[in-house]
Amino acid sequence: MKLLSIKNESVVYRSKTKNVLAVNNVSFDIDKQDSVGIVGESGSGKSTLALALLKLLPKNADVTGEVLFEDKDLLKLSTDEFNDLRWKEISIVFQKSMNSLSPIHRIGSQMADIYTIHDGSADSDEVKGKIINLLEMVNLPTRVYTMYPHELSGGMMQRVSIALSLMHNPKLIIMDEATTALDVITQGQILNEIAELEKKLKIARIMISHDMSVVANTCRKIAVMYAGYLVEFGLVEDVILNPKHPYTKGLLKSFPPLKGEKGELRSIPGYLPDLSIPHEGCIFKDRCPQKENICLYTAPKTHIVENGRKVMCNFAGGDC
Amino acid sequence: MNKSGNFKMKIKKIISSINNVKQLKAGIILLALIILLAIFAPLIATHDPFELNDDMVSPPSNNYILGTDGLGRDIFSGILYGARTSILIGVVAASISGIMGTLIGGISGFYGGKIDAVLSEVINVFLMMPTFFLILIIVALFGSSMFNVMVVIGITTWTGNARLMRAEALSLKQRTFVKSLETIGESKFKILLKHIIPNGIFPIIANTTMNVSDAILTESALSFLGLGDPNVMSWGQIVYNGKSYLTNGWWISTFSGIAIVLTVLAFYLIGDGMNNILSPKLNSNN
Amino acid sequence: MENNYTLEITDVFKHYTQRIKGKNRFRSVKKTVKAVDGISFELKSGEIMGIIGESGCGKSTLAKLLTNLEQPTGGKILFNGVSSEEMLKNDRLQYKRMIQMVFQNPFDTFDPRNNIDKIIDETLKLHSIGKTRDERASITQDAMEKVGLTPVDDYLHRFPHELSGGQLQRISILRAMLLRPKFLVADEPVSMLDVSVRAEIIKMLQEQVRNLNTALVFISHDINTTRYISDKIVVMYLGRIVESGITDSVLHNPAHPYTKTLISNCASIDILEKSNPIKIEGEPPTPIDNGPGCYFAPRCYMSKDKCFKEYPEKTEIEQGHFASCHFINRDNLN
Repeated sequence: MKLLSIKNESVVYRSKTKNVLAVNNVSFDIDKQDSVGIVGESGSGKSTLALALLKLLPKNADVTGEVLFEDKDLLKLSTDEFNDLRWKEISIVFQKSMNSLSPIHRIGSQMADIYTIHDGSADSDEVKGKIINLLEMVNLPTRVYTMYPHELSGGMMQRVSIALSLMHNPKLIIMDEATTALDVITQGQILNEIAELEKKLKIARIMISHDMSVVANTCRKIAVMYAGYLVEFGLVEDVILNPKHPYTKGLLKSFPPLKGEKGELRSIPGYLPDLSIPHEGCIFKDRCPQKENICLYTAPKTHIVENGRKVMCNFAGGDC
Repeated sequence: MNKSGNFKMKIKKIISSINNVKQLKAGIILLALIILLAIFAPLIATHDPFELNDDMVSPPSNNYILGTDGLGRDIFSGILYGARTSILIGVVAASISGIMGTLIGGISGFYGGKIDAVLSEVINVFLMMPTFFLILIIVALFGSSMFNVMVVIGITTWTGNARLMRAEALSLKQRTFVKSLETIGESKFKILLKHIIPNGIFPIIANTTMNVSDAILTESALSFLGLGDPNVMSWGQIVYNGKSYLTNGWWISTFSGIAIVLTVLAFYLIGDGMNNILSPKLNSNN
Repeated sequence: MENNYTLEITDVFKHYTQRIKGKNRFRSVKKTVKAVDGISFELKSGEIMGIIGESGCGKSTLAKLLTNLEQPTGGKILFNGVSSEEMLKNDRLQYKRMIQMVFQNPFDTFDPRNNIDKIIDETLKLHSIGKTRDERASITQDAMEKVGLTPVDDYLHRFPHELSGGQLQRISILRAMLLRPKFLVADEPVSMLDVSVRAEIIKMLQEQVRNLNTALVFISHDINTTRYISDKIVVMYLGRIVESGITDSVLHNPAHPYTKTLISNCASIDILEKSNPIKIEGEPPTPIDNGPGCYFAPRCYMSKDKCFKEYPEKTEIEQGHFASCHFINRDNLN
């Protein structure tokens, strides 16, 4: 069952001097209870893509295409209709979302405020019970209810954010680098908890991260983005074990392994192209180790291989 | 070639940012006008500003564009020559205050510890002093030459700059590049002079420009109280001279007063405009 | 053997006093924060030592102590048997030159007002490398060509904000290595860079220190990268070393429960190997009043009464592999 279906989404940031094409014609689907990890480097457009879904982009960003969420086109909804949907159906957790909480009010009362905005009918005892329930769900002690934001550690803060996002039982939760700033152990534990919660609450998740290993461990599908393009998409096992796009291959080679042979660490030469200048051929051609003449002039099509897997490369048709 | 290209780019950038900030543009045009008038005073002036003409307290006319004062001196010429004094005093006094403030604030913030504790107290003591009365006392004690007035205004107004620079130094010294210079082996004093001050100078520049207008006002006030340098023509003195003729010679104090207001406004606009451009917080909004 | 240097750190402390609001809201209490709490290790020329640990474990403070950005409150840092204070007194520049650092944030490592040419030239001039401007320019040119920052002129005339993080970090390493230091401290040198350029920075770092037989202290929270580059590894927790030894021996055979937890929670790209992360409570506390026992005991999954009463001794497990835990030798269990 499809939950969210992104069709030919493009985002252009317009300014006086130039137009930056941040997301270019991206399409993919997310099923119910599915988890998709979007990986890419800074400037790859992964955050822009997700923020566009929630209409959280600045005014100078033009979004085109179609985003169908349970057959409603999110991009065509009015602000009011959308506000209704946001948080209740789709919620988001940012890297430092706790910065948005007021430092002089207790966590509990702020959570209660947010709760009543979307559900005004609930009485205060009911809300408190619900919130304590939520805190327990993300493994926080109930005393957090009466604490102030500055008394919490980074991991606890991020847990509160996750609790907030789960408040209205959304169908889709977007995590934008939600665990990036945390320490290894805390990150590991939170990721595990999320995976368990998802099963229990039947939530679909989009996970945006620059860290492929995080996505590899926690998602079912992976979307690799480069310079605004979706270059590879598919099941994690398929993509990680048998990458088809040269960019994915390069990324995987730049992760040193924890066990076994150290092997040779290789990075991808060159840098991200300037997205405000129109380009010819494949976007990755300047950094690609296996480019041929065709790549210079022909923009690659997105080839659909087995298992709904997509690869945007001129050589993905067969021999690559 | 690369360098000259860079230079041209920089000039272009500066011009475009000046054009973007209205108050800066207005201030610069106004100031340029005043400076031109001051420079070409001997050519423009219709009379010798010290010459005692026969017509005393004569209203503005063809001969005396802005009238004459109680001793028969031409006001228009007086204002032109007075501009030189006012601008000179303003700029020199503000520079003294800027340099003192930058050094003391920079040392205080960058070195920290006991040095900072002592210097901060010194800054606080100066902040609490009733500056104008201090100036009055010093001028009364040491005489009211133009040099004295400039120095006195300078050394009583540096505290604002010192506090700004101290704050800049405090935040800059946490930056990685300062730490990296330390590991490279650069001496602390050189880091302060070559890296901390140049990177933290912008608020001081903006503030100093505004200080110029304060200094002009202070000098006018001193002159108005009769404590200005009697040997030079200044606007404050013209206002002071016109004091006794306010009822029958309004033009004496009015036009010199307007000159003070316009100049102060020009410097203030420039200071405010620069603040707008140079402060990174406001900049990000553009 | 002139080329052989030894860096010896014995029982180094760095304590900060901090005023903390006590029970009485109007009176603050002085507390000692033990950022680095008695660390000893030895490093020889050409060795690469990795230091891993969570944020707040004191690894960055240790880097500052090594590079003399801060002075230790106790203990000794000896270079070939000569203490750092003595060397600073004798020849400050010589000492500074001997130990260099690569910082975490390449975007802020250089004065934003200077271009790369000036930045490198001033460094060389300070240490009297190359007598004339031309001589220094040719040294820079050579060095940059060697590490592939070409065309060199393109880089020299640019300002830091015009370069990418990877380029800046390479220049930062290059500048440090131009001084031919005996020791290089790299504090999270790749954590702010994009994944695809990290590898090239790590490789450059490795190459540069190998060429000059420089000892490298590589500080990171990324266990995989640290494993790739380092010969020895040190695991820190709350200002103390809990485990140390040859890299693979520590990472594949961790003895301390903290090391085990850290490794099991480390996300791996290898999806075939499903690891079972060890669950522990909470996050590292601020190192104030750690108590007499093992610092890790309050979070440890195998702590017993004894752990809260006395700090465990450093025990050798295999040759050169040490850990501080009461339960390393089975017969210690009670």
